[in-house]
Amino acid sequence: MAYRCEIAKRPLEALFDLRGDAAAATACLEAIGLTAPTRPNSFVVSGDATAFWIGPRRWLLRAALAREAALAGEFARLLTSRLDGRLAWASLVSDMYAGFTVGGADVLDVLAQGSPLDLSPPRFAADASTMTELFGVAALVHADAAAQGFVIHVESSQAQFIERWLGSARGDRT
Amino acid sequence: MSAEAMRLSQGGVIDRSRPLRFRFNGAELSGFAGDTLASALLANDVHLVGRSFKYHRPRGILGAGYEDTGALVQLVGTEDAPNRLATRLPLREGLAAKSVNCWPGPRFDLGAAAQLVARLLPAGFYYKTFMWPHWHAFEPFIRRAAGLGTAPRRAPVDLHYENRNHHCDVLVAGAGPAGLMAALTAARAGARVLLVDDGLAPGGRLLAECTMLDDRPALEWVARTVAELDAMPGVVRLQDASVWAYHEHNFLNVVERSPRQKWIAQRNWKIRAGQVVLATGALERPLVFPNNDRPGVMLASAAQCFVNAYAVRPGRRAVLFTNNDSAYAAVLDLADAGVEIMALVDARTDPPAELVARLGGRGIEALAGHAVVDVGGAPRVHDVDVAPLADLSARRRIPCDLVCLSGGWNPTVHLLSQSGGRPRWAESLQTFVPDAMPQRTHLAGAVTGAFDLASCLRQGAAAGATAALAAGFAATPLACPAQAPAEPYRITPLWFVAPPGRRTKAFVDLQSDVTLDDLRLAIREGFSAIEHVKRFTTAGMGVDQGKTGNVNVIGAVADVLGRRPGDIGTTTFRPPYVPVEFGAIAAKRPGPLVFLYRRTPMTKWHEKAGAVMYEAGARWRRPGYYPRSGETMQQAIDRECCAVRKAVGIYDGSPLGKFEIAGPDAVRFLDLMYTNAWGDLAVGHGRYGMMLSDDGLVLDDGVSFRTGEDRWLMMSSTGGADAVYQRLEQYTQLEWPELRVVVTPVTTQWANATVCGPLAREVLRKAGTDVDLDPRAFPFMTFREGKVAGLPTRIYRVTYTGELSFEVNVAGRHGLALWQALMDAGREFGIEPVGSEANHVLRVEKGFLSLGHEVDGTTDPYDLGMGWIVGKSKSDFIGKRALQIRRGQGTARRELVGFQFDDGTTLVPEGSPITPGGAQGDSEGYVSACVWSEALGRTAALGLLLDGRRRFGERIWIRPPGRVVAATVVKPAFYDLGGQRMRG
Repeated sequence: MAYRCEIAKRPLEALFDLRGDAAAATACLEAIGLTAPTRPNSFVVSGDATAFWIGPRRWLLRAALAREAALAGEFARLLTSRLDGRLAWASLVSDMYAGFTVGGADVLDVLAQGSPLDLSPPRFAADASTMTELFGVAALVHADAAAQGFVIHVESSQAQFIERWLGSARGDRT
Repeated sequence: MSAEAMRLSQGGVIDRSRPLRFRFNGAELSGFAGDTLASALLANDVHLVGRSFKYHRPRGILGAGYEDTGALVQLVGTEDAPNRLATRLPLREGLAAKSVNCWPGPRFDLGAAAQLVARLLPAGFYYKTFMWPHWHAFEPFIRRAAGLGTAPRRAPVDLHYENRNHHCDVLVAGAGPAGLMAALTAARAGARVLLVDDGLAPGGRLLAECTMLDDRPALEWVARTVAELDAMPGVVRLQDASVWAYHEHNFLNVVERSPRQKWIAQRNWKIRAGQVVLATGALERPLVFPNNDRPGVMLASAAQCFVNAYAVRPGRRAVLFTNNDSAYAAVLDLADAGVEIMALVDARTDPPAELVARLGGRGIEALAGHAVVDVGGAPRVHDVDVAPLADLSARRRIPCDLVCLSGGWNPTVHLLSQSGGRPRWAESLQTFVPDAMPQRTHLAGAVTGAFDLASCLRQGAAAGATAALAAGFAATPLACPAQAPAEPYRITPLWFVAPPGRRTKAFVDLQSDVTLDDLRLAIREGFSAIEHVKRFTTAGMGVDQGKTGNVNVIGAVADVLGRRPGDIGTTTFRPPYVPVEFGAIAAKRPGPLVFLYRRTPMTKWHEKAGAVMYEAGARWRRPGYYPRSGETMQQAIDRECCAVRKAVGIYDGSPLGKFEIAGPDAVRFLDLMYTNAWGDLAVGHGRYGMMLSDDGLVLDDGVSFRTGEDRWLMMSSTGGADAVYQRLEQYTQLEWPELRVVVTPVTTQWANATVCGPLAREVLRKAGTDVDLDPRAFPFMTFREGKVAGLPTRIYRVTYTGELSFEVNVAGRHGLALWQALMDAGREFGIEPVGSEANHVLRVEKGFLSLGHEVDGTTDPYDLGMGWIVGKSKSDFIGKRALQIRRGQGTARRELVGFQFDDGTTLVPEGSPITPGGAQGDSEGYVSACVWSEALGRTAALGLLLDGRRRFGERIWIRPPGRVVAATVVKPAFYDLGGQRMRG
């Protein structure tokens, strides 16, 4: 017997860790055709790309892997010109993080075992994204309406550990 | 199966349509769904439940809930678990339990021999007795003799424990009348409510008392209220669950003993509550008199509960002993249930006439100004002696099999105390009540000292509204159901009864076997502060945490000292409020989930290759060595070292810390972080740097490369990566926010396969690369970007082995493919995968530093012979001032040196101290590393030695365990001293 929760590892995606001044980062995102989040700990979807505001001077951009090279080129061009003297820097981190989609009727029962976050709606808004502790490791969590659940990103070296934890929390025999 | 001789034909909240069979001490008995084990035992006329903790006296059931002190049982069979309280253990089909703290059984217990020498076992006797040779020599025997249950030997089958987090606007502790009103009020206002109740059914004291609300039985109101709460989506209601800890910031723990999910044994909730309503009620306390611990002695409230909630007569003939009004209601309920009331003994000389009259109308004798002075019968109560308090020697014997005690009521202030609140003494109630509340806490009901139903309901509604308002919801107190006029509560203190003549044990704390005489002894020994009395006697400790005993202890101590109980104060209540299984606290955590082990893209390859894996800093699990069949660990290490020195090796360097540093102030930032200067380094080149702590000691070291005009890649040690990143963030965010620089950790973005050895270049060429590997085109301490084996790479020419070395970095997704391609290419050159053990040997041969060995948190660059790395002309760097001050003092310091042993084969453990002349005394240094070097054909060692660099050639003595070893101090490098091999 187990909780009703589907756990799926996401395929590799293009990820960029964008850091710097808010104005510069926003300008950078807009220059490549994305809408920047206006509230900390929220995200905005623009087509197949999603921009997360996850720290005082930190954003994460996620897009389809097919766009990785193009986006890297865009960032390089923008950042080399230094955005009119404002500071921002984007590092390619696609391989640094692993993603999981967790959803289903009992998804909150599973995640509540590992995260102190209040993930219940509407306390955790549909456009909320935040870093949290999940089963003892740092994770980025955001809601995913399509999956009736959440998307989680953890550092790739911790992916197997988190995958096992999620399964264990669901009630899988380990 | 025996008949339930003491079961009433009607009443109670049990489900008579669901009979259950259970076993206790091997006897097959029966009960009903809704029973606790205790109520079912009483229904079967079983009173002897176990033996006491210290004296092995027979013990029965004192309470009906968590206040009980003696009804601890061991579950046996598949449910094996110790110290379950029978009064809160739901009966279920097939349940099997046995008594604890007795052998072979509770009726005949060999341990009862302790009673023969009881006079030799007063409080604190073992502190004084078991001193020589030391306490631990006796500890196993004492623990075996004194222990209660036995820890289960196996994990539960098909069950696991769970931990979970939860958030709510209002947490209500207790589902009695006050708690239900509070929860309903807050929930109707829209608050997210968590209602926690430790009973098997909601209602609190309403379950135990025949009470009417809105002219209907009160339990109908309870059922309606619970149904409404259960229908609200914002309400979570936990029954058979206890708030067991109340921490800072309204963070609480709840243990849920009967989760809805049948695969979960118990669940521990970690709750962050906006507001907390404590409606935890009050507990009745017993009275203290000789032999007040006999099975058959019970709290009056418990007897009333067994009659009304479980339809069980706890005895046939009862004597009640009280000093307050509340027992008068209980006595009538018992009489209605068919219990013959032999007498009500009221210590008060002038009990309320209307109460006495009520008893008189039922033909019950009330003995005013009297006390019970002894209990007869073994093991169960057979009779009591009563006497006037004015002349305790004028005894009168009354036959009975049940003695009900009511010494007054104590508000359950434990959680409030845990939250930081201090109770105050209430003279009119003769007990402690809550005072100031340091957290977002609201109180309702009997916990406040309001013991009548009307006040409980009213306070519940008010607390629910106040809590909801504070949580941001518009709320007003709900109207309360109509109830009968409140009965007054009057009490006269009676802390103990001490009849003249031979001293018989009168217990103030039944569970810890603490007697009145123990308290007197503690005071005679000078322990007059209540916290000291607690520690000396153990009163208030144990599984029940003094729920019924504490106030009696305080009252008795006050009486002996001639002071008021309020002046004595209370001890501090600490978690857990109720016993919590370790399983519930730890929760399910199978082996692989006990510790995080980080993995690189190549970890699976290492495991498949048979590498011995272990922790290598920052939770990375790395290959230690790759043994072949029949090889010892040392043989494997020697083979791997030889490959690197003579041919080629490859190791997984992915865990090395990596940070991108970018911005116009990046050079200035590096200049401040490191001791040396960075501005003159050309793009494409790297430099070794050393980072100091604020106090000028080495924090970490590594190589940083300039990847662009204002872009850098900083590398740190594996184990120091987290500390380095914290430092980088601290200084960019807090200390130097004006610097225009950003730092991004990219450690796991890159997989790193490091090819090292004289044939490393050939392996890369064989794998296929468009990078010109010629040493003039690609010199030491530079990097190149290009393809290796068709994969996009960045190659750094740095070394930790002292050999020609290429750190080939690829995106993590390509890590395994790169590794495999290099292994394939290297086969013809004799490539060997190399673990961290061989790496350690190779770096010791070169005298390279290692975090945790030579960099041990006490050394500065000069100690390590690296003063050259301190930029003398730099205006500042972290740790500069502390370094200068220390260096200015001119005191001798431990310095990095090498050691050479006479026979060339001696090995000593790392950490072995060095002492002058090898004498036992203060050390003058230690061995930081000692390895067998196949390349040197002898052992090599490094260490820190006082004034070491002035002592080259000197004999020193090392003291590994059990011996003294002589060695000669040498320079701390043994191999390729000119560094030609790594630059080649």
